Amino acid sequence: MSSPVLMDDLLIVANEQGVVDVFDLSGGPESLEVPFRSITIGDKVRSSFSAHDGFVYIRGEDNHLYVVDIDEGRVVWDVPLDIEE
Amino acid sequence: MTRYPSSSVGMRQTKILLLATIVLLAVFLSGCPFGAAQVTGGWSGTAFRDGTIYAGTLQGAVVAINATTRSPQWPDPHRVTIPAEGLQCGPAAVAAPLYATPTVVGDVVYIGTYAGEVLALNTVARSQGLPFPQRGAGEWVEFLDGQAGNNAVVADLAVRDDLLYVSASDGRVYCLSRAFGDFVARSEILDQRHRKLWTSPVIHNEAVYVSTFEGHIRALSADTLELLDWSFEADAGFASSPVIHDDILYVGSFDNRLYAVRIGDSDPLWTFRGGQWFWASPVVPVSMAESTPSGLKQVWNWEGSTLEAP
Repeated sequence: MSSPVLMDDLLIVANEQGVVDVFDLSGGPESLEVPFRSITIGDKVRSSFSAHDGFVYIRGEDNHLYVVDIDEGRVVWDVPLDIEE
Repeated sequence: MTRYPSSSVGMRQTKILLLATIVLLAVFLSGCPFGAAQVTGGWSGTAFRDGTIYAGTLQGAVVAINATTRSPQWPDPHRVTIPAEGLQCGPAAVAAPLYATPTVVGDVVYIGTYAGEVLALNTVARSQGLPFPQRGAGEWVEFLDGQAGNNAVVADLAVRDDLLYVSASDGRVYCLSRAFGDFVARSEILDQRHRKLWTSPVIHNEAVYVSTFEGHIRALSADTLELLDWSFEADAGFASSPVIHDDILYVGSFDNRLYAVRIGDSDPLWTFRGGQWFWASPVVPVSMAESTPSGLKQVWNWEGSTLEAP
């Protein structure tokens, strides 16, 4: 259910294993074979996500928001989306 | 084989009956979990706008988080509920997880809910924690079927000028005004077999396109939501919402194929066979699509493990 997202020349895909793969489309077809970044987040991903200015904003199945810095290749922060009342 | 005297059997049955009664009493006195059952699921995604991340949650709320300070921006989010099922001795309503992703237009966030309503949330009013809805600020809530829980919205909304388009679980597309949530038009049931639409409508050249579980692409007038002459039929159903580029519609199907269909044609330009069902929508990198006369042929496997080019 999670669709790929384009950010400039980058194609970003998140999968049910909780891995965010980033491909650089500017490198031609060969660059599509291997992601230049593979970043593991805290849980699997089934939701659509957004990306802006080098960051990817993803809701994991654990109902956390994960913020991924593509340059750094890691989750830079995360926060639970529901606060128990 | 052990033999029990008849009086012992009777005592044993009485004990079992007593134990069962105690267990049932404990269940009811502890708040009746049958009636309080939480609806599970919810796959709402994120939207980013002007430094704020918006997302729907499992507790039925739209939340706004400042991407710089990492802090919630809406102090008391409106929570969507639906009537509880089962024994009605628990709460009358339970949280309805959100499946659609928020759509942000200007300072208003729109979303369809599993309770069958469409919400318009003003970012300023929500930041101030004012009671919902603030009608003077463009906030409203409209049930597609009159009452909560009857017509779930799972798909993202589509926007065209001052109008919203919503696919609903009664198999119809609805058109509402963005300003007040007034009903402008309603389509006929577009999936007679399943009577539900879980894919997002797509607006293109004054028409609305929507894929169905039955395996059709339907075209509707964007003004009236009446069916247009053209439709396309695949060999299997669609759970993937289409995308359109240069009058070519791309959509993945349960027959493991990605279809590229020129609007107006009955046969696809091409299909690509993947390794699994296609659940997600494709994306079209414009520069690559324009470089091929018959449309983009780069295909991403839905599992996200390989990239394949036919």
